[in-house]
Amino acid sequence: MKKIPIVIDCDPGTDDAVALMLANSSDLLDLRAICPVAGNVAYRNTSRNACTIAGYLGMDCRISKGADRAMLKAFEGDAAYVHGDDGMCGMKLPNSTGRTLEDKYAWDVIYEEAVKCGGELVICAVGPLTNIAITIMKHPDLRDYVKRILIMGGSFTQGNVTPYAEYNIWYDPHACELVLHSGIPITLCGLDCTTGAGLTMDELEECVGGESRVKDFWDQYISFYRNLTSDPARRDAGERSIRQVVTTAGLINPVRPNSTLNIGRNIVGRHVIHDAITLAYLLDSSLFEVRPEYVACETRGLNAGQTVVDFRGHLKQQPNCDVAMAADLERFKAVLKKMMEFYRA
Amino acid sequence: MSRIPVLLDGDPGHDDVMAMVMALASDKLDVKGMTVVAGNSTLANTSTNALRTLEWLGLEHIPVCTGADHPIMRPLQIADSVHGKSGLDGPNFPPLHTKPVEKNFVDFMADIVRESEQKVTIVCMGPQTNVAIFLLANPDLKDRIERIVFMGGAAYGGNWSPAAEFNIWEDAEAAKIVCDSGIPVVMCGLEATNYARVNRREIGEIRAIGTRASTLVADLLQFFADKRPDADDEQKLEAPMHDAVTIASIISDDCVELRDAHLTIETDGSYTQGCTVCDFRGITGDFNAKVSVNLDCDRFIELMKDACRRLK
Repeated sequence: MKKIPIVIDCDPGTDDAVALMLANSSDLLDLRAICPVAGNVAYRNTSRNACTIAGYLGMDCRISKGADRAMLKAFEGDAAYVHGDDGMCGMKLPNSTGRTLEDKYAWDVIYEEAVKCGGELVICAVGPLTNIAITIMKHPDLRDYVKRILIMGGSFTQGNVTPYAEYNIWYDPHACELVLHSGIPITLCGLDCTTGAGLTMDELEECVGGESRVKDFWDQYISFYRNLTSDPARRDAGERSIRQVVTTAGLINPVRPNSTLNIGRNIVGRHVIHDAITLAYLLDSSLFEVRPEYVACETRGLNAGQTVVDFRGHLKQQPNCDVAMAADLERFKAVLKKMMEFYRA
Repeated sequence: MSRIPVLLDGDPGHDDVMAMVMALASDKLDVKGMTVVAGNSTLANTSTNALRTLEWLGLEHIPVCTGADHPIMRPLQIADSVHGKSGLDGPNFPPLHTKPVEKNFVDFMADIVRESEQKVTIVCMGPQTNVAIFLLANPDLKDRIERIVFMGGAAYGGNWSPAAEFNIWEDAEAAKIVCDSGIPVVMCGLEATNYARVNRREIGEIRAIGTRASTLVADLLQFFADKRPDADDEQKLEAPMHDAVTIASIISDDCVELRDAHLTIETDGSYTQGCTVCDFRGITGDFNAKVSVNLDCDRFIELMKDACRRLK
């Protein structure tokens, strides 16, 4: 079977690391490049972490340089409360094969790989969209060579930074607005989707724990997030990312008597590996349902970074995105278990 | 128990009239008067519709005062696609014989608030233009207002744009003035009001009550039912009674589910202008609002039927 050629544009980031681990494990994917970008933590950390993970996992794909800040927005903080100050929750991992960044930027590496793959390349963007936006601006014909952009970002209900904005998109809303209107097919996997596959730490341990070539990664990962949820100060910070889930049917089809519009089902105590859930869609397309919709990104005002999904067609635009609905937890667990078969062999 | 003094403000409008019926029928409320605003239709129409309603119900003693004829910062855009040419298409009313009181609307509101023994609850059923101007003009009366209960907004999504509901979209600046005023607000938004719907069977049950109020409410609902000849008796119709949910939230504690939130209004967004920004986690500010998240529709219809029975 023909592998799907992909590049992963990311801001590692612990969940980015799991996405990379997952991509590396699958015989369905041909990972051509890792492109780090500033996001969860500063660029100097995300780029170093990208190299460390690639070196630790023995990956031989390209690793590009990337954008060290958003297009227009000033840096306003980071997500160190989720990922640790270094972006990798203080993990000690060996860069066994001594990977470093190549002396080329993401916008040229992505374009080169897209041209090489003759229209089959899928860009999997799980951090802020700065690198992708610059690629589109520098290479307007990119759309002729890219099959799809799979994005982790956004929300059509509650956000995890501001009331409606999700972190990756909030970090660089202008880049998102450019990417959404690029004409390239997009699958948008936001919080509404990823939180559906939140795991308890026990469930996660059951999937990935025990002997494997990546045991020291998971031991440190699980220990960090167990502490995060048990340490009151850290938990308070972490609770900012708690969100609610609105049932899809209730939102889209309000003409339902006595609907169980499910606002208020929170996900306290569930750990969401956003980036890995997004990437997993390439391995199991039954992981979540998608709906074609027109999506725009607010760049101004209180809701900057909100992905506005026009479910009711007010804006009279053609759909530009496949918007992901809630992901299936059991299917995601199966993906994680399958991944671990690779690392246990 | 003493009745809650209430000042109604609205842009009738089918659902405004249903809210008026529910408010005027309740023995828990003391409706002191009504101000009218442009919104669903022009100010001339909404004023006429308020007076017609009160005449029909034999409640001409409730004073009506006409307010702002356009939003604070924007031109008026009416919703005649929903409410028809008159703003209240459907029922046949006899010729009008009453008039609005001849008073500046801000002074009319201020007098009611000042003269009331208890703090007044303001119920806002249209764009919040009148209430915003009143608050700007009478900063000294803020502590005489118990709370402001309004129909508008949505925690998620909208009905007039992807992120905004009509009333708030129409005058976002006014809504921001109201929500940021420091007065406790109750937002009855689409998460509740979209579920305040009836089917043909329920319209029939309301009509069968046989009072003037029930005839009026049934005629108003029939206007929407006539647009959907294909719908069977049980199918809920696109005839939401949005505004009446405000009254239901005041007179009943088991109809509208409310949650604490920090609430403000987006006035500048490219795509989200008029969005009611509902922060249920309180990360952007202290809780200043209760926001509707669900509605018990059966209970709501029961409240509407009760109102129709009371208003002979």
